[in-house]
Amino acid sequence: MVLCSLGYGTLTPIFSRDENSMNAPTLPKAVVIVDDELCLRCGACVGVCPSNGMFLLDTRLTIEVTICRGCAVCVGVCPVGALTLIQPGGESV
Amino acid sequence: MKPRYDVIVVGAGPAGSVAARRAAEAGLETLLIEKRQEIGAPVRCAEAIGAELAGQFIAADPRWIDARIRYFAIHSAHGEAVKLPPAEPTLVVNRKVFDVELAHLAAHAGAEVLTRTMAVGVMKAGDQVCGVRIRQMGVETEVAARLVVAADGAESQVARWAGLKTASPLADYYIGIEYYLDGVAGRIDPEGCEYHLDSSLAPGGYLWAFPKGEGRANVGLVISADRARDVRAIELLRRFVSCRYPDAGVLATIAGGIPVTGGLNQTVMGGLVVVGDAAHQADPLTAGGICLGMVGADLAMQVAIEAVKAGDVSAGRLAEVDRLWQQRFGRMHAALYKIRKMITCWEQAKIDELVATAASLPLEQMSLGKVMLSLFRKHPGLLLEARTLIATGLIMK
Repeated sequence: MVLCSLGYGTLTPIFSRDENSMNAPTLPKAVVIVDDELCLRCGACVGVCPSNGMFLLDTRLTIEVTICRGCAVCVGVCPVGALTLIQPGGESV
Repeated sequence: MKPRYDVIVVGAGPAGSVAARRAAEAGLETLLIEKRQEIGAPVRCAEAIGAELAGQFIAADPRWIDARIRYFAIHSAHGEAVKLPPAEPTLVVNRKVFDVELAHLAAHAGAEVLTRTMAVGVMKAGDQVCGVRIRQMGVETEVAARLVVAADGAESQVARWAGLKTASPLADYYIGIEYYLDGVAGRIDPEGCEYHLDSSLAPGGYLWAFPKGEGRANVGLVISADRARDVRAIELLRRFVSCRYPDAGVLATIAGGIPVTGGLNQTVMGGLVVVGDAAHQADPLTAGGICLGMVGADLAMQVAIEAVKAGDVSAGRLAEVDRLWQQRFGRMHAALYKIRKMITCWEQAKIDELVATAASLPLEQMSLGKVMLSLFRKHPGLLLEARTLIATGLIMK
């Protein structure tokens, strides 16, 4: 699990598929995850996120799991299909 | 980096660099920060600009001019094309060089420029923005500012942290993807910009091919985000490129989102102004935003610099920024927005017919008004659809 302090001063866990960090069955809610191998770091998703839960850094996109409401607006917007909605049971949509 | 500035500009794209330069030129202590390690890279743009408007901000320089455009060719799905001369001299620029030059001008005017330095939050005193939380090389610092300029692009977070609503509705958001192609000499006119209005290539948007000189081209497409759920923009582009330019090499793959709302209603709050793509200042029809972002930054700073000097950066004082923008672009952008909405509702057959009609006209000897009249005569239904545009007086001039 990656730790990132990008949010509001607190350390917040970020899910990222490439590091095999998903522990899907224990997810408390639906969240979106990013496939780092596909992501172009373009930020198209960030501009439509209604919860302001995505952050684009120079080298990676992060989705703050405490903020993401799993609305998946970003999933349809991604030009390369790098985003996936994961349901609490761990099922991808 | 100092603990306090008069103005902090977040984002060193064209709008941010112009804002920082104007502030520094006015004698204000100015910081311009860019989260990426290199200004201008990766490029996120189709790179065509109007030479006259750009000339207000930067002297033409062959180092960043890749091509000079003599005509635009608008293609239907059948391949028919209407050739139109550009309304003003048009250039295809090399953004990597262009953006660095603009940042250089800001630095030359006295602004402190820092790369790989990102905003991670804003500081507020009551309703008023009073600084930026900045992270540089793993260290987070609070830096005070009398005015913060959010020029952090379509994915702007500074404005949102401050409390402005900037997320775009999907119907007013373009998703763009482009390839920087090599080895297309003979397959692209070095002096013409191609646009393809073909919903199978680019649903709710368009595909472009712009020459970049030396047998290179910038080929990409924008699609409307509300029609993107079942398509992958990159697949659409890959299909077009492999068919049209089978031997081309892909030197770069570039993507991004562009708000095409025609402008946020509110781009200011106490201590904050938003400019460029962050303020949705891109053309609501074509999504072109380089020059508009620079003009937006310039207008905003005309008001903001005086406000900082007067010691009053309240929302009320800065509201003049929105008034200036509306005065200059409000009517035109409202019309361009309606045109996009109108076109995106059309069946492909209708677009093809209109292009075919226009292609048969001797365009070089006709005014825009005469062209429109000929189109209306042949397609009377168009008149009904375009009535609101005609009422604004914009398309019959």
